[in-house]
Amino acid sequence: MSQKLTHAKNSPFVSRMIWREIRGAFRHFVFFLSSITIGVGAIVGVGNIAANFEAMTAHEAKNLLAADLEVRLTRPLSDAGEAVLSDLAQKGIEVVRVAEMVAMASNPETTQTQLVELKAVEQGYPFYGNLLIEPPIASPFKNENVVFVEEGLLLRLKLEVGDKLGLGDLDFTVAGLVKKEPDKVAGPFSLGPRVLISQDVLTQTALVKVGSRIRRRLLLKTTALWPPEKLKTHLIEIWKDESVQVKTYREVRPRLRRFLENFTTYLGVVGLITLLIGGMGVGGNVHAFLTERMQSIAILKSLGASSVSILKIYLGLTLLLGSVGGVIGVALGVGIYQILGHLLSDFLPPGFHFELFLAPIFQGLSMGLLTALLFSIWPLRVVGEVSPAGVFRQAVEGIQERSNKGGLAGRLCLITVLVLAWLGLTVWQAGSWKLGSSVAAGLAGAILLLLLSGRIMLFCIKRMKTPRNLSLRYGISNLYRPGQQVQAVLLSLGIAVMVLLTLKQVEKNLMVQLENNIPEAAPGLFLIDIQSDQQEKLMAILEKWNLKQPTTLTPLIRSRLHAIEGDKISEMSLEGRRDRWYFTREYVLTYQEDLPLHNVLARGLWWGAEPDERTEMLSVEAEAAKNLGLDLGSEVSFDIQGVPISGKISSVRDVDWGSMTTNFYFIFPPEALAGAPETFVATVTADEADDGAIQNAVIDAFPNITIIPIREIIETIGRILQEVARTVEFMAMLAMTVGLVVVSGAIAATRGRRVHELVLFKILGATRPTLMAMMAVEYAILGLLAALVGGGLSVLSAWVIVHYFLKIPWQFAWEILFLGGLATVCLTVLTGFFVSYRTLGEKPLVALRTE
Amino acid sequence: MIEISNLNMSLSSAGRSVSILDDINLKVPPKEFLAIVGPSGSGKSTLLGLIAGLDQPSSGSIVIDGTALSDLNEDQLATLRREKIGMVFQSFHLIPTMSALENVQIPLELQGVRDAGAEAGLLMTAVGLENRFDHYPVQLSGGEQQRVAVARAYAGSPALLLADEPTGNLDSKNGKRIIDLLLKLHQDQGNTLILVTHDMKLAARADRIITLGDGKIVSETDPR
Repeated sequence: MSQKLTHAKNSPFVSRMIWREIRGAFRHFVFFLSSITIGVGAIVGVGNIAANFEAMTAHEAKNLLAADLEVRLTRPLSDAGEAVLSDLAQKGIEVVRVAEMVAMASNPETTQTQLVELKAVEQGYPFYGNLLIEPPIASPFKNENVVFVEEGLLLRLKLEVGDKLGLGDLDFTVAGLVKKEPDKVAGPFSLGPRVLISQDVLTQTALVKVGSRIRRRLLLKTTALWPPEKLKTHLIEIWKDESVQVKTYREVRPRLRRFLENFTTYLGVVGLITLLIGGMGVGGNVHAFLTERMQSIAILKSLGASSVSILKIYLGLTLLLGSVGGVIGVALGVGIYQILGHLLSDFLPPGFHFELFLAPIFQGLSMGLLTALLFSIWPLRVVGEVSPAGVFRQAVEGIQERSNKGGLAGRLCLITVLVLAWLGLTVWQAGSWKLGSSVAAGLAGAILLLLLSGRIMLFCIKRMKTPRNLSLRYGISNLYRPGQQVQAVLLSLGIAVMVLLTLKQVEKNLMVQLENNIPEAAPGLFLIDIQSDQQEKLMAILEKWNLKQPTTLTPLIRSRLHAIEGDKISEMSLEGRRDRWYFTREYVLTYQEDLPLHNVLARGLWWGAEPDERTEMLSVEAEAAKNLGLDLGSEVSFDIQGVPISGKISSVRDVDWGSMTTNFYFIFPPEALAGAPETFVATVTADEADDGAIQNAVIDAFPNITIIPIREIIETIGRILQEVARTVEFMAMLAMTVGLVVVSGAIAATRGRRVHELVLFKILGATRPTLMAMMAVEYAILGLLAALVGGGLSVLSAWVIVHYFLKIPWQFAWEILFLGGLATVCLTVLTGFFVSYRTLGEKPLVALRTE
Repeated sequence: MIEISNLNMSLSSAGRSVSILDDINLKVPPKEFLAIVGPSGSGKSTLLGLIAGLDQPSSGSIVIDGTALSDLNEDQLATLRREKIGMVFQSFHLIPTMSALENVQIPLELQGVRDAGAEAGLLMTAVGLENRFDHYPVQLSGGEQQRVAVARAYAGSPALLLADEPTGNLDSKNGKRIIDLLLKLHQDQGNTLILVTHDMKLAARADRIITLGDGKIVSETDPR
């Protein structure tokens, strides 16, 4: 017999023992399986959502751009620049001009209006991808008075295909519906439905005026002789004096795609944390199981089984359970990804069909198995260290107290291997070394802080005066019960609480910021592109309504930076600089007599009364001053449609950009910009019920003016924020669920001891209400400790996110901490009762007899 | 007064019903020291457990001071034990997470005694463990653990003390010390003592001995 066991590497013994363990102790493994299942589910769910988003946005990068190369023009090309285009045509390179702007469309019959995203293209658009128009038209962008619109616009304006649509001062026939557009990624960020027109039609409307905000692009289709990268280098060289940005299709990442990538990566990190917590559960479960199996292991050893063959049994068991948990986790992950898809439906184009991807499933399964293995190795190491005689002597002690073998160096070596392996998993899930190592470092820091604060709290509780109340005393003494996994529970539940409460606090801060920025009498409408000669008539129209606040017109002058301290921007080497945007962007200037609201002078003085000094003065916003290297006295020169105008910095302002008012980087005194080509913007604050009528009356009189309904925009932002928050919360709830599974596992692990003690209490005369109070106190203390350490750390992490990443004012959300803490305590108590309520009903004599 | 009438107890094992106690009839007057003896598996401990209300008999009744245990629910039984019954077991059954003094305090606290700590201290001193108040069970010898268990059983001066082979896990010296202690407290406090034992020499010190065999009372003797 002993010979057989010693040579048990012939696997029948090992596999038979694995089967016996599963058969005999399946209930032990429920928590192991649940921990891995939920973790894998989270990874597979998020992975599939990410893969679907990726497929949606990245599969056809050329289609997304609709071209090989895109040239963004931040001002119209000069004549020399235009000549280059003719040269390109001779090289066989095709060019299509695209102009995009926000405009007002109307139903000429009802005068009802709607903000739209107008896009003017030329024949030939798109070079790649599918522009689907219904009913199909052979050459949709020939010079005809027709427009193509998204169906939503027709519904809002109560129009049908074939009806007239007002744009600017002309009416056009709606010739078809835009069903699919290659270079527009559907998303929640658009200001209105799409209207497609030809470039020629755009010039006919009165929409394009001096100073109109138009985003102009050139789409290019290259040839074999001029591949995209070569053409890009060429264009940057010959257009160095033009204000252009050139990108190949490989470099284009639409804002929505960038957002979705970041967002799904973030969700993936929460998924990883869920798996990490699950791993801790696995570790605790294996530890508890082995503690219970010490007698059996000692007997096997005394019968001649080698440490290696016993290790094989429990390692094999771990791998088997990890695999089973992983497979169930994949099924759960499919469900999770359906829920996430539903929660994020606004980010997907209508009719988008989800696909199940194999790569995230494989990743989830592998990560589940590796996590199970990683977290089991530490408790499993004691199998080799067990001394049968020692076990027989001290049958009731835990493993940790007994295992003093192995050596410090060996343990440190094992810990290093485990930490490196976990780092590898984190990098794999995060998708990059940089993010992966930051996440791993952040998690390691959080774990250390949680462990440290947990230990300090336990130490303080132990030093506290023993409470007189029996339930309280028993509850506290149970924290130190042999085999009790207080640290594991505090760590796993603490991390879950930290993640959940961090998210809630960040969300709350964002919402507060959004709400704080809506003044009591918030403007309902924002009017842009008002021409100088329209000022008086516009004010006359607005006077017909009972406005809550007088409307003021703010002048805007579009410009570019020309030179700083005499150094021309065009001659500066800016490639690759993080602050490049500050030098090359378009600056909207204004002139004002008084310091605007929401602006505070940080340095210098506002304009004085001396006319000679005033024309030289210029005020700059603090952040722009820092990035452009400006200080008081610096000379800055702007190019306003070819005319240079300069000033010396006389003041630096701190601006509250979150205020819902028009804010500026640069402000001149009124006389400095006299005669410059200007447009005006205005905010209108009226009764909400009047907004529609005001909108219609203004558009009727001035078709070029664009009106942005601010309330709708705020509502949209709030809705998107909430949608994002709900999704992240859902993921965080998964983490919390695993945290509670770990709590359940830890409580179940000490079931034998609990039953014994409860029976003794019953024998001594304790009634069930007394026993329940004892249990409640114990679980409540566990929950409270987790809430305190997790909640405390959540304040730190939320503050870091709000202060350093979102850069908005921090507001302490005590109610979230209080409610979160209360919910944690209640959930822990409920979970504890759920796991141990059966012990209350144990008959004392039966329990004593079975011991 | 304890009155046991037609008491039967059977357990099911592997689908078969096994009789543990068979038609037990017994009266134990107040202040009596009754010893129950018999071979292993004769039902001694089960009978003691049923008297303590730790399980329900299959049939028959146990009446303690006029109260039928079958009329009480689980919490009422706990209250009865708290007020009237103390127990000592062969394997001590102390709560491992509490100190020796706290173990003795528990029944006093459950009874709502105001100064449970001081009273438990007196009991610990009475059993000779005045230097072991803060020791945990694992830090005590078997004999010391059983003395704590005796002190705990006597906490609140119960009218009935049930001792289930209290010397079974102890050497003869410690065993004698525990029995002397039990008898001294029994005489001092004047309560009823029912002792289950294998040791006939020990049983001989009782007022009355009943012998169980296969779940039945096979003999009843007065050793004096």
